[in-house]
Amino acid sequence: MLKNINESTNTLEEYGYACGRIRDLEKYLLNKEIIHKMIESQDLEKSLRVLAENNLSEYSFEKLDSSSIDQVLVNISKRNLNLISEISPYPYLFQLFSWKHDFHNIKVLLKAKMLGKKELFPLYDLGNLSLNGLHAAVFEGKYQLIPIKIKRFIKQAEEGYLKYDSLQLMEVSIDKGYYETIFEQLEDINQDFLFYYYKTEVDLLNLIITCRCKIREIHKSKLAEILIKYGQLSTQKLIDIYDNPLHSWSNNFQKSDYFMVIEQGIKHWIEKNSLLKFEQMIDNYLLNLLKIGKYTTFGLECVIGYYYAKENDLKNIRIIINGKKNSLSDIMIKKYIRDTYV
Amino acid sequence: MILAVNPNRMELLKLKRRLELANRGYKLLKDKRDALIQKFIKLVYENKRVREEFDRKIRERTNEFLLATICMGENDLNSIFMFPQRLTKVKTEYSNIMSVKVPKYQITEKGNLFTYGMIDTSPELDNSLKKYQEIAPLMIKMAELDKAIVLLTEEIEKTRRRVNALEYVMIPNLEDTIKFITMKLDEMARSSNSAIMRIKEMIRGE
Amino acid sequence: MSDGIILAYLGAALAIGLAGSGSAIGVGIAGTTGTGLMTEDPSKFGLVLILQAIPGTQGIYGLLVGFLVLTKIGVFAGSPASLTVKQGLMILYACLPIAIAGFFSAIYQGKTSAGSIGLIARRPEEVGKAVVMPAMVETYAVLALLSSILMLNGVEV
Repeated sequence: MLKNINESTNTLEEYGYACGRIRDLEKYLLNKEIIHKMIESQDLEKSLRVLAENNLSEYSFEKLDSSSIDQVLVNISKRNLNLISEISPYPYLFQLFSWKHDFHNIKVLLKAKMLGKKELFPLYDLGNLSLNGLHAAVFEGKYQLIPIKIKRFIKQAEEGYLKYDSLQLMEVSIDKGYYETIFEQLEDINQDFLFYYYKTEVDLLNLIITCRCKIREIHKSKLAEILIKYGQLSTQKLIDIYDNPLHSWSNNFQKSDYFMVIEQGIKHWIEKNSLLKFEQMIDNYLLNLLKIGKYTTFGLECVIGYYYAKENDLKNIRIIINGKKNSLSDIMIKKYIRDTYV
Repeated sequence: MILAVNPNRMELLKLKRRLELANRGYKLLKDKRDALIQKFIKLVYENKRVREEFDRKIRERTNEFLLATICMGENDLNSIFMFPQRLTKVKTEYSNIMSVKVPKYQITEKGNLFTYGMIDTSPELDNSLKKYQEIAPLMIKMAELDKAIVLLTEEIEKTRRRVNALEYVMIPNLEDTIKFITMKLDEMARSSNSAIMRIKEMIRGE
Repeated sequence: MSDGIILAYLGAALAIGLAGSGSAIGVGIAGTTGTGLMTEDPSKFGLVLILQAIPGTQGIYGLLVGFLVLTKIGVFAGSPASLTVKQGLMILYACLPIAIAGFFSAIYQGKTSAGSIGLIARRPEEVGKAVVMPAMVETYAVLALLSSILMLNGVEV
């Protein structure tokens, strides 16, 4: 966490207002105590009551069926994003965080088009681009309402699908488009911390993608196409070790910051044949990186930290709700719960 | 029960032949029944084994799937699973167990299993989905065994009824009738004997 | 009018102007964070106000030094004393500590105050400690004020 402190940290006074507000909002983030209390409650209803008892009125669930719970959580996520746009002095953070939803929508629309489905699709209406514009672009070929860059991604993805008949590769191509967009914008913003964060995210993603390719039995030659290029870790290194036995993987990263993540993740993968631990380690690593936001008074670290902390909270709540609903044991839930920000 | 036949030698001969046939059929059917039951028991045991394996595996897989999707919302899940590219086909063939036609199913799967990208989806989902592949063949196997057991049960029932009919109705009836005819014939022979003796007596007396 | 008095005026202007601008910046910085906090929790107004006001003291110190200079050279009495260039320069130099230290310390004190406002957002019960932190910065403004006054007293008019 302390690695990314440099002379430009804590100098952006225009974030003073945002940080002041966030300092107060941080009180309403989940802490370990609340999470443990929630896990230890007998059933779903009681564990949701713990939220209300701790003044977290934001999480009010009227009905307990999965779609209305999901709706509540999606709404909180929406509010979180809106808060970012409200408090930050420049719109770029909001845009950065919104691209994710845009690209999700593009994926869903493209998949629907390719398989000729006409039902209601699970879309998010919180992207940078209007849903109508995307709809027109994907289904009718009218690209007036969307940027040229996005048009290129859509075209590429469509061509890729027609060539290989694989939705997987189509999505991979859109995912790469997502990171291209992000890093293009990061160049414009030119903030060290954002670069650092997104590069770390890409590195960790590349690691997990390599593992997933292994599970999906994708050939080594295709890996170069799938990996995302913007990270600090060289993708060539990952391609080189791809065919090596699993237990030797972590040796190649002994000097890297991600050694702990890789070592434990791979170990768990070999022992339990599951990537859950790896996923959890990655989430925790990123969250830990963001914790610097708690200590900055003037800087976007604070805003970014809060945004992701809230998303992390939603993830934890989802884990608890899903776990309680399917009556997983407390120990099981505790094993897979993510770290907390505060 | 004595069959409604004329008690003469002709009928006796016929009945004796029928009895012999019935006995032979009885033995054959009994053998068939025993063999069927043996087969049936084997199938039941196999069914039990497969079912237990299925139970265990489906529980494991469901748990794994649950854990894999534990932090994903309904929306995200829908956007992954609404668009499948995998096609599963089942082909039926028939095989013969003791003249019972039993179906054999063959499963073929083609198309992409993974239809989603690698960001924003849980990595464990890949693992879980891949492991789920072993469930469908097990289910098909279970259906196959179930059907075979049902068909065999019907056949066993039928055979058993036939065996019983032979054992408790047909054969005793035939035996009774034969006994009756034999007795009748003996009676007739005796009565004609005594008549002859009396006639002889009468002739000697004159 | 003597040449020295121009320099003395410059000294007073610097002391009031620089220290005042520093305070304005500092109070502004603390204020933005404070408004942010108060958007979420208006009940913290009292605490926020205290912390926001702390960087304001440098401006007052500057004003004080400025007044002392003006009294010394007799502006208020109506008949400005005639000063040599040497005396004027001495007064000017005497003003510099509070001008410079006031300017910078106010800005940094503003930042520390903003940090303290963040602190009371999470832990309102720790308000005492939250005030101590920016008050530490105040020490140096006070030292500068002290030295300015001492230096000013040393000038014979």
